[in-house]
Amino acid sequence: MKAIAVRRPWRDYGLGLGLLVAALAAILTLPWDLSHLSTSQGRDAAWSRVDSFREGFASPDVTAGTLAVAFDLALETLAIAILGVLLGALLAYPLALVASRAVLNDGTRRSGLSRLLPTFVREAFRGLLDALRGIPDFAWALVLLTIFGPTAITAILAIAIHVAGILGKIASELWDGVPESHGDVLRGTGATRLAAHFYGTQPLAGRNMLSFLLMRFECTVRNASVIGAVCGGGLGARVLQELGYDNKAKAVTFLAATLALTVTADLASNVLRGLLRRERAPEANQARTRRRVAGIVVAALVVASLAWIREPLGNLGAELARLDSTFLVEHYGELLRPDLSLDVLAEALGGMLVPVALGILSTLAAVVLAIVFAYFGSASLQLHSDAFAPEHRPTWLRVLRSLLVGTTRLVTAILRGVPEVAWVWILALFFLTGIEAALCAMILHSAGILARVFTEAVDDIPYARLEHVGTPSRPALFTYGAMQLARTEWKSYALFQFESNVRIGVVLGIIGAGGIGHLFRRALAHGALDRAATFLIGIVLLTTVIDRISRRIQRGPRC
Amino acid sequence: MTRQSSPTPDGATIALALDRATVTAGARAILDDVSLNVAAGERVALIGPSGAGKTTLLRLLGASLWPSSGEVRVLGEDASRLGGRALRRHRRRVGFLRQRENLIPALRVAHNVLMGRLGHWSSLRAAWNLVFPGELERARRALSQVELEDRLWALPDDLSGGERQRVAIARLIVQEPDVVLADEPVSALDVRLGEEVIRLLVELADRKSATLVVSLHNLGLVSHGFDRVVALNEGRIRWEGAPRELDAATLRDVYGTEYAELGPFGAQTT
Repeated sequence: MKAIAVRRPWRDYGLGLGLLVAALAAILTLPWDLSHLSTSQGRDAAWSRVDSFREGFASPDVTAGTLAVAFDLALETLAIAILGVLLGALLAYPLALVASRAVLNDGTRRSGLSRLLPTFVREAFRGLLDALRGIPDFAWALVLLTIFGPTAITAILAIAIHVAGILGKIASELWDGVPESHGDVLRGTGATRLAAHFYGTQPLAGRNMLSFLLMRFECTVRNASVIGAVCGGGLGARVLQELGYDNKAKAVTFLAATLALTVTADLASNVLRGLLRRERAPEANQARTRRRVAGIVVAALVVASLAWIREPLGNLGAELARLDSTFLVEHYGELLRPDLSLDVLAEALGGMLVPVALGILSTLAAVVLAIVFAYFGSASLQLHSDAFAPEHRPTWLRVLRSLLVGTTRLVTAILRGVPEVAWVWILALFFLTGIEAALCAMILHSAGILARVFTEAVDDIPYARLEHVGTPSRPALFTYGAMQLARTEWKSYALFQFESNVRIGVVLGIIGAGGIGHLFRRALAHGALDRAATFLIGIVLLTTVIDRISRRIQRGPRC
Repeated sequence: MTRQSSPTPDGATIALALDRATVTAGARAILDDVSLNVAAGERVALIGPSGAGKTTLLRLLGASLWPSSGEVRVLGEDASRLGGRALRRHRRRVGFLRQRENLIPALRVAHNVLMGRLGHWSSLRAAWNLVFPGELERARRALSQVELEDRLWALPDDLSGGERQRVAIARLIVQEPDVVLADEPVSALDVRLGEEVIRLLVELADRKSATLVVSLHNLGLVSHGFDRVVALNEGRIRWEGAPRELDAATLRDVYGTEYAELGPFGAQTT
């Protein structure tokens, strides 16, 4: 019997109302502070800082010396990213093997302890991967700073630990996603678990793993270009230094170098992932040749990267020799004894709310901006609409629309090309470092990221489907057609971005936005490692819970 | 017996006119030098084998496609010379029903029906109506005409294939077009539902004296209220005439090797 649907279901309003309540709660939660803008002198000072930066932007320092330094630092940043990702991938692989159900399962039925032990080990390693992934690279950098000093080595290790958590989790999920029958066939021939993995599971998940590795590399280049702000090395440390010395012209030059580097990595990763998606399985000979070429290229990159950081690498032995290992063990041993007193737990809980509130507000605002960008930046709607809704248009209008699409795409590339941390540095000129600068930075960067995927989702809609919507005005075609047809994909991307923004909220807290990241850094700086440990646990809990909720809403590997 | 032009009933206003219209895809002509006049209020069934050019002809009439050469005039206007508001005004006078994917799955039936009013609304009003739909009474009335008034807030995925086509017809009812084009609207339905959809389309056209052009695979339906049958083959008009004049020899000529696949419907017509 068909259901009667004469009244509009309340759930139609549920999502909107839920988001509204969440946004209001987030606004009430955040510790806003715009007191420095409440007086006219304060506002004048803020504008004069912005003007001074604008002048630097209008006339950046392009002397040969500065450009050479920018080039060197860009290569150092790239070296940090390459070594960080590769080291992370090497760490991730064995961890993922133990965390994967597909690998641990040897196909035999077990009972009692022999059944529970593998489950226990697997869950323990999954927890470890969650912890490595949940603690941001900036937090790892603060911990490692005491041991390795403010050098590129600290940045590489911090990135590697974090990347190991992310890639380990993705790899284990991808392996678990391969149908068990593939492993069963091999195990039926007497193959060991590892042999079944290498000959059965790994080849089937390999291409996806490579795609995620490239995507992670792209994100890591962005992180590597700013992580220097807390642990030295790369472009980040230098931008912050120049801003601190009020050398705006130089700061702009180094920011431009950061942008050039991240946009190049973004484009290169896009091209390579596109090739991976489109390409059919190569012949055996081709595959062998490609593996060799890829091996040589990766080896060359590693050698070049190591050569580029040879100075801190050369000093590493002397640095380590100076360390008092007994002190370190005692000092960092405190991290294993968290302070679980009620006041610290309450402080941690309050601190956890800040990145969540930042995540909610920034994602909502970014979604709105990304929808606008998707409308103006969609090639289907603006340039190729003749394929489904032909229209007599003068040449000037066609040129104007091409310019509109090009400009929108350039703006969104810049928005996502400048890392959130760098946006905070720029916005702090007006807002000073705090919640306001952090929120705006997250909105701008997320809008750039979401704009790209939202636009791609619209441009992927078959023209025939858009033609079926009928041919009303372009905005109506967008709202009733493209938006509705891409809605499920958009929701998925927005949820993913929210998850990522909560993590970024923790990172921005570390550089001064407040919340649990700030609490962790302050505790570390005061030598209160037991409290720092509590806040670290809070960070891991927060990111893990958000990840689990997001996973319940949608399935699939995440990073 | 190839005919490339067709007379119009004397004194009748011409609603649709193709004058030597050709559509090419690369070197291949999908429609080849076709001329056809359809009088206002006339009901035409388009038949022909797969790839004959029926969909292309309907897309030409619906201003979803421009001819590579020749001229297409719908309601007296050549849409390829129109742009902006004039083109939107023109398009809202032409309603289109397709075999499938007429509805947006993410939108409720009410929104899908009211999409027929998009040509009448400003962009701002359209966006507002997406959240708080106006003209609900109009949607209700249209749905009651297709006997689906209790499905106003259902989602398309909760409807059967026949119900979805009736919702799409309700959209045409609220659009109030002067020309209704339907591209194989019953191909995905069983015979009884197919007859029901054709009856609704003919009623809709009668109510507003609209011109109706429907492409059909099921030849048993050409006698359900159509004034004229136009048979296409390889992008050209092969035959046209009253439904009762359609005979086995003509169908063999039009459908060629596909004639055997017509089954009982082909036999029924003859």
